[in-house]
Amino acid sequence: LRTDRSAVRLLGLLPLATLAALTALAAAWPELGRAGVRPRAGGELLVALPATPRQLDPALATSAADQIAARAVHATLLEVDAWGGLRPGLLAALPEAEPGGRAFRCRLRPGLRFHDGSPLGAAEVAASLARLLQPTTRSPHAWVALPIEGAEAVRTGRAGALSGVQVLSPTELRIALAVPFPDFPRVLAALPSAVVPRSGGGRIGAGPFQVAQPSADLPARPGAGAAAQGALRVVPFDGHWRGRPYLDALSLVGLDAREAARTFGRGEVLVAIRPEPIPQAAMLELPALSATYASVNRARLAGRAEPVRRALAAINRVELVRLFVRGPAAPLHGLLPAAALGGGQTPPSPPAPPPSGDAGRLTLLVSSDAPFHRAVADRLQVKLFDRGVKVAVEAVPAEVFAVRAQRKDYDLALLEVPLQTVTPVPAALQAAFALDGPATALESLAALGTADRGALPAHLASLEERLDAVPLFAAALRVSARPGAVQGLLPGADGGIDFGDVWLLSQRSGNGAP
Amino acid sequence: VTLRAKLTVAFALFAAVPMLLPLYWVNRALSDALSTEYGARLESAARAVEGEVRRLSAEAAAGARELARSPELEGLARDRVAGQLDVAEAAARAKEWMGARSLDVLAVAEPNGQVVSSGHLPGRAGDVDPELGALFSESPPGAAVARFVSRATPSGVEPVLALVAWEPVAGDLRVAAGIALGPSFAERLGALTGGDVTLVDQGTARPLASYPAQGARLRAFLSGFLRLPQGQVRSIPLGPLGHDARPLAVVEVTLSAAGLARAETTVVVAFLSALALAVLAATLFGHALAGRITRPLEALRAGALRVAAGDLSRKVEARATGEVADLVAAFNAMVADLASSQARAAAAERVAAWREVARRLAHEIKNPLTPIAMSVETLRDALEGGRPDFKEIFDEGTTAIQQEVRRLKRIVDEFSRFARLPAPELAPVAPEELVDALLALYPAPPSGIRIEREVAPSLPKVNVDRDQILQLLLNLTANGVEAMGATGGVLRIAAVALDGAGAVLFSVADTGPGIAQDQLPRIFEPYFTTKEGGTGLGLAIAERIATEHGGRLSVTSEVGRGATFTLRLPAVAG
Repeated sequence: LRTDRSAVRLLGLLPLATLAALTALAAAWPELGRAGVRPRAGGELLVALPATPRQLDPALATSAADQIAARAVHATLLEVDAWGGLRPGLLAALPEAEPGGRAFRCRLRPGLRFHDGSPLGAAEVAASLARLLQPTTRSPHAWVALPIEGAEAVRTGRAGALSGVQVLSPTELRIALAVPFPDFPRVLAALPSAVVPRSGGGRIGAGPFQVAQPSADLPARPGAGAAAQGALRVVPFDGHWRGRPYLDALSLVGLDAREAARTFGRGEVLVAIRPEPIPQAAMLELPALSATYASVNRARLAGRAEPVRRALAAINRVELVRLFVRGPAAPLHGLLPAAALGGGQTPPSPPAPPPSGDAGRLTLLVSSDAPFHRAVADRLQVKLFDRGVKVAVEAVPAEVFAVRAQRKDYDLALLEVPLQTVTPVPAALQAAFALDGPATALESLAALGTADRGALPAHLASLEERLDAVPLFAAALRVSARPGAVQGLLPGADGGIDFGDVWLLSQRSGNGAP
Repeated sequence: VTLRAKLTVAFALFAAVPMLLPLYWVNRALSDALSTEYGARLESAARAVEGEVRRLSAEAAAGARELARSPELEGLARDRVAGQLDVAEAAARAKEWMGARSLDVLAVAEPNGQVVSSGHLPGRAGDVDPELGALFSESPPGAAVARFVSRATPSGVEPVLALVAWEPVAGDLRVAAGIALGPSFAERLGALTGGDVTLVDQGTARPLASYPAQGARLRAFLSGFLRLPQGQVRSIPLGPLGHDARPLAVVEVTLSAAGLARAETTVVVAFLSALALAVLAATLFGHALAGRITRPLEALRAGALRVAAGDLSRKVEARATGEVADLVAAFNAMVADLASSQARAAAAERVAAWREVARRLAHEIKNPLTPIAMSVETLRDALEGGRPDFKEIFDEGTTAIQQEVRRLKRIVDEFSRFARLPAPELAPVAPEELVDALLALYPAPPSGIRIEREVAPSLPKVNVDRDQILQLLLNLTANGVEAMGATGGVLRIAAVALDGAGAVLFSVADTGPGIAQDQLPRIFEPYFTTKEGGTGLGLAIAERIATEHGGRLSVTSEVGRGATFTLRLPAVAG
């Protein structure tokens, strides 16, 4: 990103590169584009994930498994198609921008309803956006509503509703922004912006599937394979705006790599979304949007921060990814991964000078639940040790990690930011929010919101400097499907899979039962 | 220090010294015997340490051997050769294998040390680990050696001492397995040897682990501070010798020397108890014996001190025999001679003094007798000659005789006063009151003479016979007034505190002609006078009064500038 002219050239080639990548994808993923085959309804699909989904609330879901499940249960105002374009979701049409790019008019499809039958209107959209910011929600995705006028008042508890969101009619609303942000509609396609009813705790949405009653947390139905034990089971929602999904039921279960491969081999699991490849499966890598940064807490380290930052920046990320990250991943040489830049690859940063000064002994905080982060932390520990920085690795549960990361209670931390958009400015907004809080996020948006594409690399580089976070790598998951068994798994450019489009080629259940 | 004390100490020493010498030899012999037994225990502990190191070495070598032949490692090597190895997945495998086999060090690497998978330092995968490279090149396979290995610990990457062995694996790989020699190793050795164990890095002299681990430093400090017995340290080398001919590390085993110290202490305490009893007995006996020897000498010493103080009345009473008895007798005889000599001298002195008084008295009386005799002879001649002016001559003659007779009477009265001055009757009197009473006698001083009063405030009282001291001060005042005579002057009567109020100083100072320097030493002698018609007894009486009050009368003078008489009297205590 520092070689601005090269970056500009690369960014200019983005649409072409994206098109070429998707064409190649379609060729390598034969089940996706089988023409002339009519989708069949029926059957139950069991999908293996890195973990069994627990959090379906789109405002709170952060892990890959939770987000996959939340996408099945919730619906967003807009959607991202496989080519990166926006298309209407709950909205009847793409939002109309007012002159200046600071306000957008949105019109909902008529007759929308939630799973519980309650109507979904403009007021629910306004409430969902405000909910992201409300202190009681404690959403890590508050960045979605942060650009809207009145966000600060809601975020600090001084107001309950966003002053920038006007409900014009039951299906129409106007969203005014605090700063010009032409890419704001991209934010409305991100999962956290999904509309939820004012009550329901995030488990009720308007997506293609609804949580089965009794709760999907109960044991799977009789006859299901052992792999489905404890799975999250969702059933079709007849009232979805696109109509009833093809599948009769969708079960999402967390399995480790070996168990996933074993159950896949037995035919119990037809689809696995995990980092590792599965033998004899048709595989597709999702875009690497889960960016991992080494955050340096300058406030705590003071004078020691800079030597440590330089030592981290000097780590060979290509080697790091190759040796310690399991599954698809790409080294990060800038703030945002290539997938979030629309497919272009940012030029690598110049090699960092060796650290000077004594950084003393530090602690590297890492979430014990984040995949591969412990291994990456071990690598950082060794490489920092080689450069005279003694680091203790402290692995804590995800809940503890989240709290300490929010309070910046660490010397160094491995922070994973699952980027929700494939557009640079919204992605930078999310990264800045996750790494340094709302103030920095808003300031970065003010600088980036209306920047032309030529100036974007410089702005991103400047933001990276300010965030005191060293980008390490961006990881992704692999979708492995049993050949000749499943159709309609083509993900959007943002990695989202709409299970409402998925159907089974043969009328048998995904857990091996006829 | 008295002779008696010296003799007592000498007796105690004579008892102690012969007992101390055997104590040294007995203690030394006992110490040698116990040290031999202690040395045997230390040697046994060293053998136990060496045995434990051999056992762990064999365990590490067996671990490496078992892993080299394990299906897991063969599978990894096969995948690697086939190019199907997931390097990220492989990097994490060694950690799983290490945990399952209770090893502390485990790495799979290429012959040059490039790590494929490391359990003890997972983050090293993909790098060339110089520690592993050195192990492969310097040590033969199958034999564990002590080495320092960088290991990921909860507090960061740290070098740990470990017994590490390696074995070749198919596919040109090598597996290194080891067991750390850390706190648990020290604890095990502590249990085996029953002593304190410290593992020391010979390169830095830094302790790597110790048992007991808690408070080892505090114990060392306390035992040093309290001078507790220190056990001997036996060092067992670990690892190959380096360039400086020193091993990589040593195990230091210290066995408690408490038993040894206890036995020695028991013997020493027993000896010291006997010594204390002997010294006590010798001291008591010596004290009594010295008393018998020194008692006559102490009586002589006391007698000599009494004689020096002027007491010649008492004889030295001491039971003694031999030379000491002769010495006592000679001393008593000498004191008796001295007493009689003193009595004779005093008597002679008294005779001489009275002779002098008689001479002066006779001289004083002789002076008026001559005019009386001449007047009587003149009257007789006038009467026999029938002088017509006999009446005038008679009046003149008898008048002269009367004058001289009065003079004779005054001389006799003064002498009588001097000889029969009564003993003072002491009572506390304020100096201010004395001065005021004195001045009352001179309410109107003679013309041309001014009397000044200077009395310091808050003077302590003096213990005096009020009348006698007033008489003394009146005498001084009258002398001063008389000395200034018609020329006039100032008479200053003062009283001030002296010696931190332990005394009061009265002074009477005139501005008269003063007293000649050659007369000053004699001024208080009886019958010495410079005045026409003076008896020469006034100042002598005054000086005697001052002496009988425990005070002192003195004079200073300069001719032409007056004289100052000062009376120093002790103040009433409290």
